Amino acid sequence: MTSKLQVSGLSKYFLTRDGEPRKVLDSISLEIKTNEFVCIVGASGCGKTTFIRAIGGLIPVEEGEVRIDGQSVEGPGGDRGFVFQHDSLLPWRTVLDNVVFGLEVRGIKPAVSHPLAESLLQLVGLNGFANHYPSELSGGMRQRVNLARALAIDPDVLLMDEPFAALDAQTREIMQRELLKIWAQKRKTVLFITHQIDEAVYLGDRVLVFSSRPGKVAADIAIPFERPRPLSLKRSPEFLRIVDEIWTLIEQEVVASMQA
Amino acid sequence: MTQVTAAPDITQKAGAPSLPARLTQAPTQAQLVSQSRRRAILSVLGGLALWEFAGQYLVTNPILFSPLSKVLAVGWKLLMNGELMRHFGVSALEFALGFLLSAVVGVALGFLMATSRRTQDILDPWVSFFYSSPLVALMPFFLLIFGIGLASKVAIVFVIAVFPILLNAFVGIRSADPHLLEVAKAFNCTRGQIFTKILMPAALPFVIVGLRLGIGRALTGVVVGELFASRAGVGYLITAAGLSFDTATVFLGVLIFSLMGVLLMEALKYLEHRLAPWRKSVQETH
Repeated sequence: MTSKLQVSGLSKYFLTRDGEPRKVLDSISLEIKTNEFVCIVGASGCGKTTFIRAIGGLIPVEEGEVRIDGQSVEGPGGDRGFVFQHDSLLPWRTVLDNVVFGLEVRGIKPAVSHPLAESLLQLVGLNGFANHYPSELSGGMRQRVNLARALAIDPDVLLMDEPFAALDAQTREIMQRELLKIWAQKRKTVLFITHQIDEAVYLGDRVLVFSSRPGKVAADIAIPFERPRPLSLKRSPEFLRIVDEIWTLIEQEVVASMQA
Repeated sequence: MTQVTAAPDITQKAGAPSLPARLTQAPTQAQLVSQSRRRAILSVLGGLALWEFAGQYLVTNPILFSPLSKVLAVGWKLLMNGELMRHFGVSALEFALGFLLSAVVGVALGFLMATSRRTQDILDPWVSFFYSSPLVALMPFFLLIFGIGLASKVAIVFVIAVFPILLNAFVGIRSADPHLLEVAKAFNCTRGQIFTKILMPAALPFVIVGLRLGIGRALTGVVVGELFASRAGVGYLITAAGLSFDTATVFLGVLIFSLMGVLLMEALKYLEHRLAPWRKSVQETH
């Protein structure tokens, strides 16, 4: 497998209220292979959301480079599809019109985009909801639309920023299983941010553990479980051992950053 | 544990499902709506009856008050001899021109101010100044430069109605959800696309509120303009009737303006349902 997403020496600074620059991401380098599912976990405030926003081109970075298929990218682009954490559907658009949004802004005709959106809605399990408005859907359903919208532009890399954080525990588990099913069908390279360790271990081929202030990769853990993974995997001793290992890492990081 | 709680389920499985009594006795949404409507209609009819009664038996001096029947009789007479439609036509034209002008200019300037920092910096002190000034006082000035006819009325309607429309359009654009702007950015929208696909639909409910305020203000503008100096219009009808102690015609004029206001608000409500169906669905689901 070849490298799909390459990040080298990426640093990001914010200006504090006094105008002092503060480093929030410290020279991060990583490589993600084609069709690999990589999760990033870290304590809140470790810069993981800043990192994925930088990869998505939503915020500028001061140092470093992002490459997709060896090509350097700057700013947002159709090669990356973003699935947002918060409820980011356009409330005045129906489900179908939300899914075609990315295609519409590229000037793709409804004759082409609508059938594609219909098939994506089927894929994410929202058959028959095309003409509903987001306000008529549950949180889980809205995130399915969010995912379908990102998939519609057929990106090389799917960037997912804590997409299930706002869902209740049961819905979240179902959505994790569904996501793996969809990923198995669509074969995308995925970068998935979460603060839930079990979510990261269940979904990922690899889990990157971020440390805080400034954010950097503290550990890169390969997840050995075979796919397809049943939800019952989460109760296996090996699974719990990995979760515990990562938790220990983050716990140390949190304590270390508080003492600093 | 006993099986008492499970027993009713078994016995009633064959027949129609029986619901708890408290649930079936509670009024449905449709019943509540029709109840509200019934009360509103009764309230209006009661008010009209009270008006008629007061005019017939309490205040019988025709200069001090006029019962509904007399107002309607005067209205019928003026409708038959064509006077009513002539005056109404003049007022309606003044309103329509002034309001349309203020809607177009107000929304355009509001959007411009909200999207261009420089325009905002330049216009902001003027908008704040004029929004808080009693602009009705400009009417003598408009009479001097535009004369007694249509132009001076359109001018007063415009200056009175334009500022609430402008400010609401401005606030509408500014209150667009930053998350949605981020979505637009992630999907590589152009500036024009961000405006038409995110900012404008986000501002629409605010624009409608601005137009609603503008309608009320524009009607006031028509009345003020015509009361000051005019040769025709419903406001002229009211002034002329007042000078000749014809209270019934005064009431008729006021009634016409009020009905105009109510009808225009209803028209706007209908427009909102057509333009912003997603907001209707919000109300329906909650």
